[in-house]
Amino acid sequence: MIRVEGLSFRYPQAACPILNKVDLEIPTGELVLVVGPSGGGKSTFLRSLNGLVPHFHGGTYSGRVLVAGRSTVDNQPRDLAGTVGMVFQDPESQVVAETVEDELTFGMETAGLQQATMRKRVEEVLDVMGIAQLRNRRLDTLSGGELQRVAIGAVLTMQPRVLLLDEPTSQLDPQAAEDLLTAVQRLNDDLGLTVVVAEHRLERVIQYSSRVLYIPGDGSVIAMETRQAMESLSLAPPVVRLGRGLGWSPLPLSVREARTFAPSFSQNGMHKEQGTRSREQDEEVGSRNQDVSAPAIAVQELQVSYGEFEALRGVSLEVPAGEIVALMGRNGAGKTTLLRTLIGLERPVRGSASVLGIDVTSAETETLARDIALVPQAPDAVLYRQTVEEEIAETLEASSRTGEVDATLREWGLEDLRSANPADLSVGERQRTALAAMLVGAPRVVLLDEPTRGMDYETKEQLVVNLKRRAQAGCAVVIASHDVELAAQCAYRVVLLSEGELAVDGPTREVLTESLTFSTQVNRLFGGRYLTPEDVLGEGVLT
Amino acid sequence: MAVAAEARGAAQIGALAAVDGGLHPGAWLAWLAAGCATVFLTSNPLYLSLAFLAVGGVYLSVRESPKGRVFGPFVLIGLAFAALSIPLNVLTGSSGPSVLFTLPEISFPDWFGGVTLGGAVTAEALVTATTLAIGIASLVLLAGAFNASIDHFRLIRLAPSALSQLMLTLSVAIVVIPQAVAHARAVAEARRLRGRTARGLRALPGLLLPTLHGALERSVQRAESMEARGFGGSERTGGTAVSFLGVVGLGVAMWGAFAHYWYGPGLWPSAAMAAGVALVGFGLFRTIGPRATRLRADSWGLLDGIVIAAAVTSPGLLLALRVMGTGDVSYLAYPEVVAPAFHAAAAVAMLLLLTPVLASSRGGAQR
Repeated sequence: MIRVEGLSFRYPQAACPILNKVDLEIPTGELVLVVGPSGGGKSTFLRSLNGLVPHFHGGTYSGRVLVAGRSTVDNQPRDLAGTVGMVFQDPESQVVAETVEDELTFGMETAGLQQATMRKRVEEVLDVMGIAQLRNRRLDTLSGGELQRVAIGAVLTMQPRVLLLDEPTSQLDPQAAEDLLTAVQRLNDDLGLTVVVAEHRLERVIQYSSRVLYIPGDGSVIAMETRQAMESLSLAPPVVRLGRGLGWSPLPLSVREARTFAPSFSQNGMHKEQGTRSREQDEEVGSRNQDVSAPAIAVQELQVSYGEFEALRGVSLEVPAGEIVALMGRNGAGKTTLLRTLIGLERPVRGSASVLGIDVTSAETETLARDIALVPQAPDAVLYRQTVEEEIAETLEASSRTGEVDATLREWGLEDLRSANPADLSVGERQRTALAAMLVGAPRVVLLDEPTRGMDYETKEQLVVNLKRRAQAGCAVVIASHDVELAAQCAYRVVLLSEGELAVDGPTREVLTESLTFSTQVNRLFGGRYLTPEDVLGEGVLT
Repeated sequence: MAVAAEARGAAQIGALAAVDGGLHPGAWLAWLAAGCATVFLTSNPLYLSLAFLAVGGVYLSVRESPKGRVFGPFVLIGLAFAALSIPLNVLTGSSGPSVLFTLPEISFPDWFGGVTLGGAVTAEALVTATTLAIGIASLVLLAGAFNASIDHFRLIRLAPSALSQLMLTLSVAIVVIPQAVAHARAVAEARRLRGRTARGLRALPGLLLPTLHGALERSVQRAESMEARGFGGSERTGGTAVSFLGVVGLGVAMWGAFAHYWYGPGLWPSAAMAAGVALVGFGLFRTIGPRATRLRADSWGLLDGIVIAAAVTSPGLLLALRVMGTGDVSYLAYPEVVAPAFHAAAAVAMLLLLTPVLASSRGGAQR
C-alpha cells in the first residue's frame, strides 16, 4: 500500500536531514505504530506519506513515496485526499465548519460528489465513528474527544485507503484517548483500512499493531515486528515492562495476554501476601515529610460556581508540605477549578482556602506566583517568549523567585534547545519547556493540571523523579490527572472528586486497589496491593 | 411493520429538513442589507433612533447565542466608539447660530492640521453629531446581530462559485476569532501565573504578540488540514483565473463606492464601480455551470419569507417618502436646528426591522 524508497528530507533552515535514506514498505490492512522521542521526526514522516512534505513545507527532498501506486511528488496533497486521509494533533485547528454534519461533508462537497452518495457516506461514517447523536451539534460545543472523532469521520467520508494519525490523543484525557484509539483499531479491523498512527499511549493499541516504526531522531526509520520492538525499546507500557522484568516469553503486550503467565505466580503466594504488607511499606509509594506542623494547603467547605453551575460544592482538604496528592475524577468533577482557586484565579462563593498561610481567596495571582506554581493543561498558551531560555528567565524575573536558568535547562533535558523558539518545538518538547518555565525556582507548592496528557513514557518518568525530589525537599504537590499509572508511581494520597464533592480521600494503595476503573495495568493483572511493575519486581520472592 | 418503517423514514426526512432552527442565511442577509440601506437612506434623528431600537432589539434576542458571546466585546467596543464620536465631533467643529455654551478654545498650529478644539458648542453640531453616532451604533448592532446568528459556513454556500474560495477563507477566518479570544485569555492567565500583571495598557504588547502568534500558528495548521482534505482542487470553482477576476472586480467596485462617498460623485468612482460590477458579473457568468455539490440545501420557511418581505418593504417605504418629499427623510440641522417631521410610514418601516426577533426566539430554543 505504501512504499518508501530512499526518502531523505531536510527542512529549509535545518542543519541536518530529519529523514535520511528511509526505505520501507507497509502492506495493505496493517495497523502500524510510529514511535520515538518527541521532536525526532514522527510528524515529518507521516506528512511525507500524503505529500504535505515536501509540497506544503518546502525543503530538500529526495527519493520517492508511493501510496496506492501514486507518487506523492507528482500529486499534490489535495489530489491525494481521496487516497490518504490525515488527522492532526489539535482537534480545534483542523475543523472548518460550524456543525458536525457540515464538517463531515466538507471534503465531499469540495470533491463534488453526488448528493445521494454524500448522504449514504455521512450515515455510514456517523455509525462507524459512533457520533450519530452528535450530527446536528455545533462543533464549539463538543469535547476534545468528540471533536477528534468528528475529525476522523470527516476524513473517512472521502473513503481513503490509508489513514494517517499524528498523535491524535495528545490533547485528550485518558478516557477520551482510549475511546478514540478503540475506534481507530475497529476501523482497521472491520474496514481493513491501512492505519499509520504516531502515538504515545501504547497500552491501548500495541496489541493490535503488527509493526512498529521506531524513529530514534537521527534521521533513520527502523521497522520492527511489534513484539521484537517491545523487547528492545525503552518506551513500553507497564505490563510490558513487567513481562520484561520477569522474563516472560513470548512477551505479553496486553493485560489479557499477561494473564496466561499470572496464575503461575499467584500460586507462589502472591495473593496470600497482600494483607501482610505493612502500612510503612505503603508509604513508600509517595513521599511524605512527617516533621511539618502546619499544612501547606488548607481548604475548608470550599464552594465555587460559574453562573448557575456549581463546580465545587463544599470541599475540605488538607495537604501537608512534602506530600504528593493525586486529584482524580471525571471531566467536570471540579479538579481544575480547585487548582485554579488555590492560586487565586477563581474566587469562591463560600468557604476558605489558604496556601502557605496566605488567604488565596483574596490574594492576587501575580503575588501568589512567587511561592505557588500552577502548570495549566495546555502548554502552548503558557509559552510566549522567543526562546526556551527566555521563557525560564521570564518566570524568575516576574515572580522574583530565585533559581538558575542553566540548572533548570539541565533538569529538563533542554540544554540543546536553549535558544530554540518554543513555537518550533515538538509537542513533547514544548511540554517540557512549559514545565521547566513554570516550575523554575523551587516554588513551595506545585499544582499540575493534567500534566501527562500526550506525554511519552520517558518525559513522564522524568516528571515523576522531579516531583518526588521536590516533595523530599518539602514541597507540596497536587496533581489533577486521569492518569492512574502516574498516581500509582508518585502520589502518597489520592483524592477523588465527584461532581464538585470530595468522594474519596485515602492512601494511594488503598484507593487504587479497591477501584474498578481507577486501577493500573499491574493491579488489573495481579489484584492485591500491587500497583506498578516496580512493586512486583521489587519483591524478590517472585523472581 | 411496513407502516412503522415508513413512519420512521418520514421522521428521518423531517429531521433532515429541520436541521437548522434559525432563519435561512439568505433571510439574515436580506435583513442586514435592509438595515444598512435604512441607515444610509435617512438622516432624520427620530427615524434613526427607532431603527437603533429595532436593531438593538434583534441584537438582544441573539446576544446569548454561542457566537453572540464571542462577538459581544466587539459590539461593545463599536458602541463605545460611536458614543465617543459625539464629543469629538462637537468639540472639533461646532458652527451654527444656537450656541448652547462656550468652552475654552485650544488651537493647534497649522502643521498639526490647524484643528481648533472647544469654543462655542452649538445645538446644530450636537444634533448632527448625535444623529451620526446613532447611525454608527445602528450599523454596529446590525453587524453584531448578523454575526451572532449566522452560520458563516452556510452563508458561503450562497456565494456564487467564483467567490466561493474567497468566502470560505473569510468564513474560516471567522471560525478563528473565538479561538483567538480563548487563546488571548489563556496567555493573560499564564502571564499572571508567572507573576506578570495582565492588566492595564502596559500588558497589551505582551498579550498581543503571543495571541497573534498563536492565531497564525493555528491558521497554518488549519491550512495544512484543509489541503490534506482536498481543498483547493480547481475543477469545481470555475478556475483560478475567473476566481481572481471576481476578487479583483469586487475590490475595484468597493474602491469606487468608497471614492464616491469620500470625494463625491465623479467620473472615476463611477467608472470603477461599473467596471468592478462588470468584472464580478463576468466571473459569475463564467461559473454558472460547475458548482460544488451540496448535501442539503437550506430550507426556506414562512418566517424567512416574512423577514425578506419586511426587508424589502422597509427601505422601500423610506425611498417612497423621500421621492414624495414628505416626512423629512433626509434632515439637516443646519442652518438652524428645527424639530424634524415625523411620518407614520417611516415609523412602520423602522419597526419592520424587528422581524427577525420572531425567528430567533424559535431558533434559539432549538440550538
